[in-house]
Amino acid sequence: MKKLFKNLSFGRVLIYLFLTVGAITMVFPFYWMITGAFKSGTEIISFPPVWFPTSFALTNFVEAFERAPFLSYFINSVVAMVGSVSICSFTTIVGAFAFSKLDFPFKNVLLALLLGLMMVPFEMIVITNFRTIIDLGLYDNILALIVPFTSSIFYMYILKGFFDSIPNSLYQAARVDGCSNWKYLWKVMVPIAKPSLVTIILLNAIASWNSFLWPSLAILNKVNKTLPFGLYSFVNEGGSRTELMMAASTIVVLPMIILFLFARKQIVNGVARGGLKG
Amino acid sequence: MKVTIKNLTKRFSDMTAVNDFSAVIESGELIALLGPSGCGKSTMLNMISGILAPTEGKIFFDDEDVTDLSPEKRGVGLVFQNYALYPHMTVLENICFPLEIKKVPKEERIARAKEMAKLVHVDTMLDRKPGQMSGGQQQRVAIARALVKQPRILLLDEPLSNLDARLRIEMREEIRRIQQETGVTTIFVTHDQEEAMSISDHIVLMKDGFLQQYAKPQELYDEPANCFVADFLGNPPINKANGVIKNGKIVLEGDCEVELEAAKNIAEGREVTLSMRAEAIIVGEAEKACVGTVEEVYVMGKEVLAYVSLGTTKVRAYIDAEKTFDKGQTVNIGLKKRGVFVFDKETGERLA
Amino acid sequence: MSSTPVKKQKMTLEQFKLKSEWLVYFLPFFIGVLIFTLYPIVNVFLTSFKVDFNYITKEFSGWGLDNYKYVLSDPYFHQALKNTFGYVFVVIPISTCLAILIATLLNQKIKLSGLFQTAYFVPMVTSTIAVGFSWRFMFSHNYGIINYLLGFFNIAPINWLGDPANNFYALCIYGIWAILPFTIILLLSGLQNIDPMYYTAAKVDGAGPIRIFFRVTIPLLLPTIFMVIMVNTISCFKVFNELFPLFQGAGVANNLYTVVYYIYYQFRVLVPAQYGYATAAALILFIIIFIATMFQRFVEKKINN
Repeated sequence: MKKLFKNLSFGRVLIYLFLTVGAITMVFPFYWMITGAFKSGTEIISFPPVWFPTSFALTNFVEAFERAPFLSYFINSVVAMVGSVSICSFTTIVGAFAFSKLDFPFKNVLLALLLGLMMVPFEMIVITNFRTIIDLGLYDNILALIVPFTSSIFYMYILKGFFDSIPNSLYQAARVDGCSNWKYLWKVMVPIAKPSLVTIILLNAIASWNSFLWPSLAILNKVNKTLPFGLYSFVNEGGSRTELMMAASTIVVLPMIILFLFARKQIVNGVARGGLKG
Repeated sequence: MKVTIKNLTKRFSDMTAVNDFSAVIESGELIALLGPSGCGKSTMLNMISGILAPTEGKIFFDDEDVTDLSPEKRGVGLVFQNYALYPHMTVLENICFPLEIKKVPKEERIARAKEMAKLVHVDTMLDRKPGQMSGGQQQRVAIARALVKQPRILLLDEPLSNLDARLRIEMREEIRRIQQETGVTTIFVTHDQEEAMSISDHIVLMKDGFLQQYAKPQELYDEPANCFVADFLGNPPINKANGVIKNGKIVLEGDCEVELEAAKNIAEGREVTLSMRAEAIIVGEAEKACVGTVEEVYVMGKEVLAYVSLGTTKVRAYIDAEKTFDKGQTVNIGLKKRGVFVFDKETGERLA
Repeated sequence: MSSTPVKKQKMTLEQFKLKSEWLVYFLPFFIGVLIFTLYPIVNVFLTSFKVDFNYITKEFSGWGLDNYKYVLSDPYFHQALKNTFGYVFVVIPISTCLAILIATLLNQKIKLSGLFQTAYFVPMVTSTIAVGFSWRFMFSHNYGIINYLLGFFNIAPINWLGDPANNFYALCIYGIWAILPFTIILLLSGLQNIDPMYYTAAKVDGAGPIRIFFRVTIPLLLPTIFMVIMVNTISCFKVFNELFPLFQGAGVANNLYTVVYYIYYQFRVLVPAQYGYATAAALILFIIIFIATMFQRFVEKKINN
């Protein structure tokens, strides 16, 4: 009995040891990035490496902001995110309602078609969308980061699944009381679906914030760049000052880390349920 | 308000749920739509509420043809089997919601909702959400929400089936009380005969989409229109024995001759079903209708139930607690007039 | 007399409104899908068969398989295929095994599980570009922390990013790190859906933790594992973003073309842009992904039977 207990606790120690080493590996790039952002030019290239920066002055951040318009990158990222996420949420809600509660011709055929379309990689349709944006006269315009993302089959499908799980008697009860479809959707369905909606909005916001391929295609001028693309050009054009690169990277990464700390449960549950990369 | 239903039929692609149904429901009555599952009673209710459009036939509220009106224009209150309360709203908000849609001013809305909450006895829990309430309480809120807009008619779909046995009795009396206090014409759907018998003014009994009988509860019990009605009502279930009319008597399977006044008017040689309620069979009676054998005697509290064979058929009969019978004893069986019926064996049509 | 037709017209208008109401809900959603998903697919498909397609004048000399012939014989596309498949074959097995192990441990009743979960999941929400720069710093030949740590094991400094012999492995390491959080989340949620009564039953039968892991946990987790492998394979076939922070493109010696990078190169880097080649390569990528998906479904069915 005693031996069993001893073995068990030894096993426990191993589990904690392994998990701790793993956890450190996972967060280490962030630690290295953020401490790197505070290191001086000599500290950063010293070998053996400096584990802790000697000062926490914001000089690297100040210099990064001076060398590239990170404030406007930040604003552009926020505008693109808020714009695409709010419009997409609206179309997702009404679309999911149409497919869940309304009857219309070829509904099931359309739904099957949309499911098939989900398999097509974004990297494939991007070729045409790039041309479409140019043809619409939106090239190098912040609108180009919003317009193509105003509806999402994936999020619509997730929300439709949730709408389907709301008992139909609720809908009938509201109809008997004279409630219009529109009012029912916004007064009953949406409040009930709030947890799902929050998750969808979070995942969509994260994806929008981190997107790189599309902004790098659709945006040309400095003033219209978003953070990841702006960061990339900054590093690419601004030479190899690693401490500035780390400071600029920290600016890009920090908002999402803070968001994650506050909304970890919703994000993790959303990813687990949706089975798609956030 | 009076409800008139004329030749109502509802066909779905593969079945006919309601078939040529006609009835008049008098104003202020509590009506039970009774029948086994799949008999079309819920379809009936949905057509009266306007959720389903009938294939043929008409529905009138008083003299107004409402057949083509959408649910909200009919002025019906509907209570669902699973209550269908909005989970994100409080009790008060739930009851207010129909008035909000009608754009009733907020103060009046709340006053009327509170009045309704008082009527159904949920006025102490106005700020709770449905998830924090018991089934019975949710049911009360659902009734209040249906009544608050002062509907012309109140419809309840299996209102008690989600409740446990004790609550069910309490709630059915509550439904009766609320209905009588408000005087609203009420139709409720149920598959439970006891529920229907205990609180309704009239019962509509349906089977396979057809109206079987529309009568007062006691009349349904005492004068069933056909074999199905007699079968469906009563506990223990009515006793049935098949036989043939010979010389004005019914000869049951196993050569048991039953003398019955009513059988004399039935044509010779007709195959019939003799249905007898347990309380209509008198064991050990001097004035005998036939002879039977006592098989088993069960004492169940205040009642004593005997299994008696008439020919090859075993029937249940209540017997006097004072009398004692032995197993295998041959006894005279008397039949009361009330509670004994003869039906055609094939069609179930009432013959006597 | 005149009121009847008016009333009739009003009825039909109302009926029309009722019948077309769905459009109000459907169209806002569908217009976006139509223009930015449905149309591009058709367009990419058609363009890939257009010979000598000029993207400015939109003229082409005819229909044919020329684009496919070119792409399939282009050594850079061969290299892209080799790298992409290599990436999938390295990243998927390693990340899946690691994730199963970590998810299983996280699923034990451990203290500080919130802290552990935060640590393991946070890379999922961060920019591939920004974190990639941190990895570039860590991979640095002369002053990188990775080479420093390897020094403790008497391993000489490796030129991770600058040497074509090593940069593929740097890409894979970053890829594994980046894909782990998502993989762990899915597997952990799969583990949490396993009814604990199976473990109780196995324990009652006297099975030890190792046996329980291989005979109970893994078989019950198999559907989730397959799902994860499928989703991850698809995302690994599209490896692209990671190339930019680490190598500013396809590696020092242009040795790290991937299929998506090849597509990007054809229509965005090359002047004039080669839409025909890009669309043909995109369609080939789609077919590869489609076949991979079907193959995995097939294996999954085989195993389930």
